Amino acid sequence: MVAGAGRSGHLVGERRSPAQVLFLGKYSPLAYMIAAWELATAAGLIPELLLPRFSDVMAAWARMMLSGELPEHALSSIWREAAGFSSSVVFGITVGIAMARFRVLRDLFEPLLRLLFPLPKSALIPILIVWLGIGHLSKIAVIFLGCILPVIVSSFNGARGVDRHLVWSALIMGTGKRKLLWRVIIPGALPDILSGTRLALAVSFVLLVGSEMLAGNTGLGFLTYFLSEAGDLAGMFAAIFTLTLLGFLADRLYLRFMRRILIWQREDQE
Amino acid sequence: MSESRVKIRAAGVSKTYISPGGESVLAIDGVDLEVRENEFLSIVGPSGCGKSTFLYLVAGVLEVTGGELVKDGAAIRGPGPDRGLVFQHFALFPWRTVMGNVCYGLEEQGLPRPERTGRARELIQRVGLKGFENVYPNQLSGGMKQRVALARTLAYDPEVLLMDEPFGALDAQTRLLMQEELLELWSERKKTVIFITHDVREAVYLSDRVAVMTARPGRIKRIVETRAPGSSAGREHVETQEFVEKVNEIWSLVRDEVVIS
Amino acid sequence: MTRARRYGSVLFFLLAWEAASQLKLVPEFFLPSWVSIGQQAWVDTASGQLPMDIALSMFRALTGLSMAVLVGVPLGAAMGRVKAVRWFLDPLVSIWLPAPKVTFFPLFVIWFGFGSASKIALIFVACTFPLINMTYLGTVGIDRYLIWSARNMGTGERKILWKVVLPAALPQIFNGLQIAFPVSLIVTSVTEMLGGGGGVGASMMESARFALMPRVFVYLIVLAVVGAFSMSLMAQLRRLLLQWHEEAQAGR
Repeated sequence: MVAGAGRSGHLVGERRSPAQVLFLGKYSPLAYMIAAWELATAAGLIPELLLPRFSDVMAAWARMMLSGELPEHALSSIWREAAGFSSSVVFGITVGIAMARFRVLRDLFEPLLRLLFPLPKSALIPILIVWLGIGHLSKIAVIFLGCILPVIVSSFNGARGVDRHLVWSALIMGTGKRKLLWRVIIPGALPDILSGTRLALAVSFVLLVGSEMLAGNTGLGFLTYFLSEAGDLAGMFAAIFTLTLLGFLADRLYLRFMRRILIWQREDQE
Repeated sequence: MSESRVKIRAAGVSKTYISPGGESVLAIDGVDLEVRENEFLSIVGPSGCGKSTFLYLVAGVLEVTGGELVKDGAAIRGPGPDRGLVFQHFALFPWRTVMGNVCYGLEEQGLPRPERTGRARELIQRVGLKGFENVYPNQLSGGMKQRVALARTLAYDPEVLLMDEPFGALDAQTRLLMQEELLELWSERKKTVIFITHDVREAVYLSDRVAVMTARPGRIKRIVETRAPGSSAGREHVETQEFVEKVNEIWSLVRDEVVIS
Repeated sequence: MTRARRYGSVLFFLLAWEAASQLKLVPEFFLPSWVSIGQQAWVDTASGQLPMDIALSMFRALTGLSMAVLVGVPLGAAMGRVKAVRWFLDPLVSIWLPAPKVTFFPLFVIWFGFGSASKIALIFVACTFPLINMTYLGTVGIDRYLIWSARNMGTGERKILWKVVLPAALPQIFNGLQIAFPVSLIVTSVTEMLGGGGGVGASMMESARFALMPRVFVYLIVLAVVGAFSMSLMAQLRRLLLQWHEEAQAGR
């Protein structure tokens, strides 16, 4: 969705001097914000008890990267995220498309989905902690269960929404009932599946951080909470910074992947 | 032409479907029609009279609920590559390039890759899209899309060409151009064509015969011979007195039905 | 047949749960029976705790959400119509939109304390970004013929915002709201679980800590009902406000 925001931000025309790139370039507002932050804290306008200096945060980040503290917790978070998210995608797409294809499954699952879909997925965290403990498993399960519903629903809608004329064309040209799934239904459902999955990706990070903060002793969510309790504000910011970066990177990577797959949706010639 | 045999025969064909609201709707009711081999037959009628439904029954993507629908003496059961279908909104696979779309039917027939690309390339050139082989349908204009759809259908060489308002979504100029090209292709390859349209002039210009359908539930109201057997098709007929009279005759038949419905 | 399957599956699900629990196939600790959940719900309602928690959570969620609407919609519209604002906010929004805002909760606690303020602040931040983004997408893509014809008919530049731009962007603004509402419920419950201080999330987490599973499920069901209720409310509001829009007509 941010996709639309990407290309339109230029005030500057075709020819840009290096100074213009620096002061008016696409990401320069971020630099202004950071500069304002640094100056305000350095000048003592904002007490360092409330907001550490940006340079201190970067120093803490470098220190924690070198000591291996950040990489260790980041890996733990990434592993949970990857396991929970990817399994929910695989299961979700399978179930969603199967529901679209087989009436029996649709009738069996749809009421349950309707019942569970509006539940704020974070409500699962306490229950899964009780059931599965405070290790990796409970976080992976929270992400899996939290993401699977949007994936199922978007795959189901996508597969149901495939233009029947496309299906007919394929049948006429000799595609068998079974091959139809791979040749027409799945490619046709792909735009819906991919955008539903992107929403699930955003939810998965919230669930990851929430569950790590609530229980356990590894992961970036835990680290943020731990450092805040220990009063290490700069370190806490370094952890927050890492998490934000991971969320941003995951979204960008996903967007790129999505554009690559859906290259046929582009209307302009390359 | 006079001795040509019957390719498709409909006897009392009717179709009832269940609407999303759950009521059963009678779309067509007792259609009797014989389509001769290599004939170009158009069907005109008011909106919603079931002419597209009839076409889909012939294609085999919908099932007949009453009467008898026969091709070459055998009842039509299910879709098959012997009857190619061309839609108003093209129904190209958006995730496949022009080449990929034209090759699709050949892939399903199990033709090896060099042969199918060769044949596809030839057809893409024939419909005037050389150089667009690797472009996705989204980047093409409506007229170009319909050319791809036509090439895709001609690629697997069906005996019968079923066309559902194929030029209905095109602008007026493209439309005239496509009509001429279709006639050319048809006289080159001699196929049986059933052509659905709203446009009476288009029907008279293209067809050997025009069938007029009634308002829903659709039935064949009258069949009008629009081209003397053996005579050639072409743009030059359009200005003749005879052509204008045929158009007026058919239009008044359709008009009565539009008023009813 | 269809209907039988539909209700049957839910009924079967609930009965299987109850049987597994009553027959001690699964420890009560994992799946409390519906009888005990019902009793717990009654006890908590009678004591007034459940209604109090719901009211508190809804107060936080709705306060944060309304603040987000008041700030996010104007910012998004400004982004869509004013180039300088777009230049400034675009990179910030594109970085913060996918960020898991819950991460900031410890910081917000330092800034705003353990009470409702830190929670509402986080709900506000989390809901603002989707609203900015959707309002921006809605206002930037407006059909310029609409604006031209309004100008032509004598609408002043300032009035164009109210009379043309915002109404035209309303479907997208609603999309933003329909993303933000569930987000507000998620953030409310998570911050309450983390920070305590009453509310549905806090009571749920506390019950989980003491392994009071029937009560955990009471609150789970409450959250599901609140979620379902707010979703259908949004859908109805949308239909009411967007009657002119094609999607509303298609629904009839």
